[in-house]
Amino acid sequence: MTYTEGGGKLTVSNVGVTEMNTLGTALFVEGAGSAMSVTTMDVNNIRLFEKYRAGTSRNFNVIIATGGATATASGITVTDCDGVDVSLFVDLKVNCVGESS
Amino acid sequence: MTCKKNVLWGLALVAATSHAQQSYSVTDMNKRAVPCPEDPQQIGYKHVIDVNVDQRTELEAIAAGNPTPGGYVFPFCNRFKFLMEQEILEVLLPEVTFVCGYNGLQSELCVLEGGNVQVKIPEGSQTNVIFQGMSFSGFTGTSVEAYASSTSKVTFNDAKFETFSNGATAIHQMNPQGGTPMQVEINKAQIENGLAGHLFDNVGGTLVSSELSVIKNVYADSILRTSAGGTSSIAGITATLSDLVVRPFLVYLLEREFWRPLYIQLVCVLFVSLSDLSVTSYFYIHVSKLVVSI
Repeated sequence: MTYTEGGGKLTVSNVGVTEMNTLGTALFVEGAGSAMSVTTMDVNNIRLFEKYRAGTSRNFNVIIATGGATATASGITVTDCDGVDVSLFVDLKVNCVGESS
Repeated sequence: MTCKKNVLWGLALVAATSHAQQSYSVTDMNKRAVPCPEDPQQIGYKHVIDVNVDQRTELEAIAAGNPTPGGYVFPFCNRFKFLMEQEILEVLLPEVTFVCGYNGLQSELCVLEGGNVQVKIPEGSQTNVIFQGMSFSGFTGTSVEAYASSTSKVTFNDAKFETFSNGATAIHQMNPQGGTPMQVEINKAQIENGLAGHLFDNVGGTLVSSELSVIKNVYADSILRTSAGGTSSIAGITATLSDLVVRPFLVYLLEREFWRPLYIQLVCVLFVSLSDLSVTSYFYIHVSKLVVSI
């Protein structure tokens, strides 16, 4: 949803992601000096596109911070992921409420 | 520049005719405002070129020494599409408001339709620009070029961006001269149906937004990109029924089979601070501080 780079700063609150046919990252921050602060985020009902169902890409990242970027997050809730692997900061697996498959 | 009636907005017609008074009114400066075709009780503009001409006329009057009023208002005719293939709305005056219909509500349907660039805010004397209830539709490039300097500010209240294509951008916020660009404030915006690059592209400026809603069928690299030292703040953002793929060329980060070795290769220091993270109804993880260093 958002991409922050080049020393950019993002503050975001009350984020809602619902019924997303999404293969990607919700919030991405990259590069030294870049920063992101997230408070209160609900990720609900993640759905894969049919074209991705046969492939290996079944991962949804809520937040990625790379290249020296700084990210802070709090109040994140993830529900109903349709078998999609949901991760926070790439390698922190998130289990979902209401997992349907 | 041509305009045409939109005969498909019957429901909106019923709603709009209930307005008793026009909150925004014209003055002697609005020489080309006319009774609106769909609602003759409203006095407004039905051609963007007329808005541009009246702005230039006022600028000449200012240059000739005439006093400037406290602010300028340009009401757009409601239930109207303003075809933008041959026209661009130029923002030239300071303290100027472009308003949709009677009360500046998006539901009154003032739609800038089509074109590559729809609105230009160049470097100039603009200090406080407001778009009230305007809709931006069908653009193929950048709908709004917010290119003035940091002493200027543009505010979008109750806006809608829709049916864009070709990797479009809704608002491009930058200063071509290299300085800090103008501020952008978005208070309630709805985005739907379109193929975009970075919808809101903040290059080195300050962007403040609230109530940002991506409704459906939006395919974009991102809703908001912040770069070049820019600062963005969003209070309230929802995305539904859309495909928002940030950085597709980093898709390896999304491939579970490959992410671990590549993740280790990342030359970075990743600092993460988590608190009050709840992920299931069965258990909760509470992390007051987590530091990951590679």
